[in-house]
Amino acid sequence: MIPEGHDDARIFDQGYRPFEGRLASVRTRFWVITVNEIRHALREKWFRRLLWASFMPLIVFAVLVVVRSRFAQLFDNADFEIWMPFWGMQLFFAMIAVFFIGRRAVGEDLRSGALNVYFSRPVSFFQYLFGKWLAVALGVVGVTLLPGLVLALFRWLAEPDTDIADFASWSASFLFLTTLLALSMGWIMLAVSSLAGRGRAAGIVWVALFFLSAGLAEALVHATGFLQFDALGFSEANAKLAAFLFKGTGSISLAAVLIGGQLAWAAVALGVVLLRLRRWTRV
Amino acid sequence: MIFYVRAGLFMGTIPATLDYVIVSCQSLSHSFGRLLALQGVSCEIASGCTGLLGPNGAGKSTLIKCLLGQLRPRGRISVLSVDPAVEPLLVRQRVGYMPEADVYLHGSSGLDMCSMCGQLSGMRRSDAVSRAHEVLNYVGMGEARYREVDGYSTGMRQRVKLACALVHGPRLLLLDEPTTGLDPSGREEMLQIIDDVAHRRGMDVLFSSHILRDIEDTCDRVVVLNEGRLIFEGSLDDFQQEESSVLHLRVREGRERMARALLDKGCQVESLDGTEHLAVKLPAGSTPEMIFRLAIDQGLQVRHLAPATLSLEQAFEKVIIGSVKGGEAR
Repeated sequence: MIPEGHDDARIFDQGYRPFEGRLASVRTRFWVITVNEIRHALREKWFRRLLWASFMPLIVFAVLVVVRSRFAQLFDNADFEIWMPFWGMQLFFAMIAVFFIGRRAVGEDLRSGALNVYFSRPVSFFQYLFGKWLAVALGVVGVTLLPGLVLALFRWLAEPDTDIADFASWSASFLFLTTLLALSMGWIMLAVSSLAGRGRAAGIVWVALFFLSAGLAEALVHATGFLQFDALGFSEANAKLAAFLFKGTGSISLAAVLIGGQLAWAAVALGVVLLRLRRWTRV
Repeated sequence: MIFYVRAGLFMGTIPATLDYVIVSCQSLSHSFGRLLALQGVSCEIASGCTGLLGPNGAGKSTLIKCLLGQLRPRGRISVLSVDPAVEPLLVRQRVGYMPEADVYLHGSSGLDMCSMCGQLSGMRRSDAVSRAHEVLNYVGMGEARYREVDGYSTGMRQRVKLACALVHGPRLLLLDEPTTGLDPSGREEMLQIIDDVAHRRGMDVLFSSHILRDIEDTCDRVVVLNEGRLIFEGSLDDFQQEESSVLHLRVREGRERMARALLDKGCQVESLDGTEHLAVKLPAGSTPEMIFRLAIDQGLQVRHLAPATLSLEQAFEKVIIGSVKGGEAR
């Protein structure tokens, strides 16, 4: 019986009972963190819209592939290149996906004391960090690798002059590019988040860093003529690496520099995260 | 057996040796830079509800973090027979922790946070959600559980933190200042819940606080720390016990006559304000038997004779001052 004027309906008669179910192994706790991060991002309607939008280039290019295969005489075979513009668009979507998933990842945990919640549970520091990174990485995979693989499969099935070797080559390229992108973008976003604290500030810094690093790399390449400067921009390096893999432009040594550039971004960012969370690294 | 002890069915008939050790520390030391937070703490905390007492900066929270494996102290430590330095995750699976600080998962409702804690402890999502509802009901969180924690009052946050600590059914509950920031009724409800889990639900509780009344209301034993050192460990009764030679005496009538007789026999007698009791300090070599003999001689009836006890505040003050003097002497 709730007394009159009492506005909440608290239930006091369900006494505490010990939990008698089974607790899972502690090895997979990172997955709980990953799923929680993605679930939080999916609550935002703009993130859901982004996911839908990231498949639009796939539809556009799929239509192009069909049109080209049906009306081959209208196209000059040598000029038909869909991967570079497709990858360029997916890179942009990846940047926004990372913004939605990662901007609150570490900074808000630091601000709200959530690390105390995580580390009073059977969660190790590396499980926590890997779980956070994996959420961002899966966001990147969702908007780059998945549409890329679907388009590669569609092109293989729709174009008569392609075979399974082409499909395997495209898929491997997408997998490689996505892995590099997830490493660099994921760790950079976590580093920015850990330094910025608030999600909004982290998001702004992330977008600025994405464009500024690419702009700086491009400007240096134009000013000096050294293509290696593309490695300074993690998105630019990835785009140029895509050109090497899909079109064969550039040399292997340049590709190695571009790969090194992205890995260096990831390593520096990981260092920043570890430094910021150094109090918890031994938990 | 343990169940019966907890349920209080055979309290007093089951020997105290049935208690088992939940926490054991040997020469535990930890420092933050130059600050020595714990200095050679050695203690064995038995099952039941134990209060961890000490002024601010005494090392209570540091000790709890060592128990959780969040800090790596020097010395040996064991929680539920597991070394948290070696297997911190196993310890944290068996222990529920309610931190002192205001902690929450950003953007989560009370229910989300609680079920997330359950999942982090190894529960399946469906189990965790249903269990979160159970424990949130238990701690008295109503419909507010569906609102974001960011907008909760301090009292609600404390309740959610307690629910998070309970959600996976831990064997040991570590509570770090659970009544901080609560209004009197919220504090009372929190203490009732702690008392219930400790004395009726078969859970061991280590309850850190500097609010003596909270400890007095809920705990059976106390561990007192000051400046990182252990200064008392034992039952609450022992802690509050005045020196053994001081007794509280009440006679039916003729208090003054009894006091004079005691003074004649060389006792130190003080009249306690606001009560009918006399505080009697017996001379060396005398036993309480002497008081009964005197009462018979005087034709008085002894209504109460017991060792003097201090209020928790007095006892606390006494041991803290004693430890400070000891530290200065060292």
